[in-house]
Amino acid sequence: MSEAPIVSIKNLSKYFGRFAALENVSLDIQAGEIFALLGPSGCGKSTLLRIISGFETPSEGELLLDGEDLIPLKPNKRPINMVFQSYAVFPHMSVEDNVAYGLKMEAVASKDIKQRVAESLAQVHLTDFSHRKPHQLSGGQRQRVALARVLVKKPRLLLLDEPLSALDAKLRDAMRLELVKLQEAVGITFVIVTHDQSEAMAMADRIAVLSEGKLRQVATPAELYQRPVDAFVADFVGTIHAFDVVSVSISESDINKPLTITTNELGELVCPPSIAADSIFIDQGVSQLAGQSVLAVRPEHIELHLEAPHNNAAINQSSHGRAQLMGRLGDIAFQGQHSIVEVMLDGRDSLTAIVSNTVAQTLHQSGHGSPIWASWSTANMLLLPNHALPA
Amino acid sequence: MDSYKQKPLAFLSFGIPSIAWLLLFFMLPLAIIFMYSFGENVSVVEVKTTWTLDNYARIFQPEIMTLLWRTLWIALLATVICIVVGLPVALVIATAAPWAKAWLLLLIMLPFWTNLLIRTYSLLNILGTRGRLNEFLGWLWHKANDFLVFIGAGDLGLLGTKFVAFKFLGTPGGVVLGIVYVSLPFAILPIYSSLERMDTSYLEASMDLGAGQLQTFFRILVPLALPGILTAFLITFIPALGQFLTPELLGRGQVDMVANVIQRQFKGANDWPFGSALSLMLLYITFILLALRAFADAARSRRESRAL
Repeated sequence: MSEAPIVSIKNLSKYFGRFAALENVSLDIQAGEIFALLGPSGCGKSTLLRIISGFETPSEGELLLDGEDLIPLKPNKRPINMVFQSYAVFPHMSVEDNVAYGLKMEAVASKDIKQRVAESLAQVHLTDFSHRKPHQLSGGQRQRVALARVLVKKPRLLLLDEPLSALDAKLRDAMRLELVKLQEAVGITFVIVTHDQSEAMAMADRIAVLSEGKLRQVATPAELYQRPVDAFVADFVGTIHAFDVVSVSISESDINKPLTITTNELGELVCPPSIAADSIFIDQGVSQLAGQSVLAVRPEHIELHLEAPHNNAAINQSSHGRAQLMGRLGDIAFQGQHSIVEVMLDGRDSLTAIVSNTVAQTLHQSGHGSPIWASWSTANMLLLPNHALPA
Repeated sequence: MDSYKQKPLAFLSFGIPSIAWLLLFFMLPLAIIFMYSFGENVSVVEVKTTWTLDNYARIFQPEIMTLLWRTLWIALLATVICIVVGLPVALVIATAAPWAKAWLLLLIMLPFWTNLLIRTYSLLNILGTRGRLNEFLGWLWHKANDFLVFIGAGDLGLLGTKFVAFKFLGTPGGVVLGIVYVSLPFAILPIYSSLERMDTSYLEASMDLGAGQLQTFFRILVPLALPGILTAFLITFIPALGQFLTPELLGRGQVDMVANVIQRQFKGANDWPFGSALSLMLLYITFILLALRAFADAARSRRESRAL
């Protein structure tokens, strides 16, 4: 990562009237990586993509490609190509003509065009379809045409706007893998816009999470999942169950000492300091933690018991670093490799836990509504600022 | 929506009035005209259907062929102008902000609120030798001349010695202008609707692939708007072929189109059989055009379904 980034975005903002679609976004994209822009709809990720492609002009800030200012360049002058969400394969041209279009615009010699088009079509396995019209192709094939059409131009940067959203589920999974393989083969930097966290996680080398026009976090998929900067990111990249923090006692002298965190539902918990997001210490200061942060746990860390855990020798009270809650058994959803079990709680949204199918089977026999205990290790929790938890 | 099949009575009660109307006031007169076209004048007021082909044969005499040819090229030229002018206008409306779109469409529709006759008379006022347009052109000429004098080129006579008013009335050019004026909204609306429905990402994709504005216009936008352009062509050209009022008023009797001659057969010349044959000729041309379009559509959908 020491090399100069291929794309450098500095303090970029875009306003539509008084609405800020993007606010002070800064990020670098490294050459050769798959970079995902992830966020819910309306978060500004598509605006950012359109600014990079040249269809929108930023209100403020810098956009550099290989260190050169891109903003004055029209879309047709940028060495950047885009695969549109709708694919935008020209319906009045054959597959071959679609792929050749960009090269004709570059005034490439017709002999070379023929060869490069053939190569590009071979790359996406569409050689046999070169004379077909788009309406004679399936959605997946049309997407391949859109890919071939931009890859043939050998762009510095390839932008993909929700590339998999129009495909059916099975094809989507296959296409994820194929896109990653294709990217490895051609070595072109990919920027993928998506609202689907599993898609971003599966494909991207690094992910930028956006919400309400602001950049939340840029990290690798694993970092994003394990070390989210706040409750919004944690919730967006996976499921969390969050408990409002009432008070925190922390040793000012030694930040490596365990934290004692109190929440209404879980009582007083002793937690290792490593569970706190970095921003907790940098931005907030301990005094502001109460009321503005949450203690969260993910479903895969929750264990379920049919008897109270403190009767069980293996599991003890919260002083030993375990949290526990009692509830009633809700729905059990079979997922294939595992099952998702709902734990209904009084006065709060129910929890979900991911358990093995054998455990789910045992729980199922005890019947809907029977008492159940959920417990988890405090070391698996996350202490996160919650200023951005979605409503 | 096929419940009418179970209720034939309801279907008939809704269907019969309009069917009767069409039969009585459209098909029947058309049948009479058809009979007349094979008839002969036996007295001043009586036509006898003798199944003669003379009336059709007379269409092929030189002056009628000249007339048909003139009708054809005036209608064609007016249609082409309508499309060339209408396409950019449609593009502007289709890409305008939503609030502006409503106003622009209103402006296009506005002329329909005025009677065609009044609109055409107002054109007389504008296009006359001493009309507004010539007034304006004269004013421009004087300004330009003043400017030439000012820069010391007044003696060269670049613009002629005095302004000569353009003759619009009684010339084919004036008639074309009049037809364009009347038909332009009909050309704009179908093109507009095809552009409106067009996915703008095609245009963006073209730009993204390195095409400029002009290339995108001619290689992507026009081909994709082609169905709308074709509709605009037919919807302008067919009524233009049968234009009566515009050549009558703006042509000053010197630029006859076929409808003017047909009218004269029924009135002044009192030759209903020939007038009928000419009318039907116009109808046949229209049918042929529509049939061509239908064949083209059928051929395209056959091609598409075969490939799937």
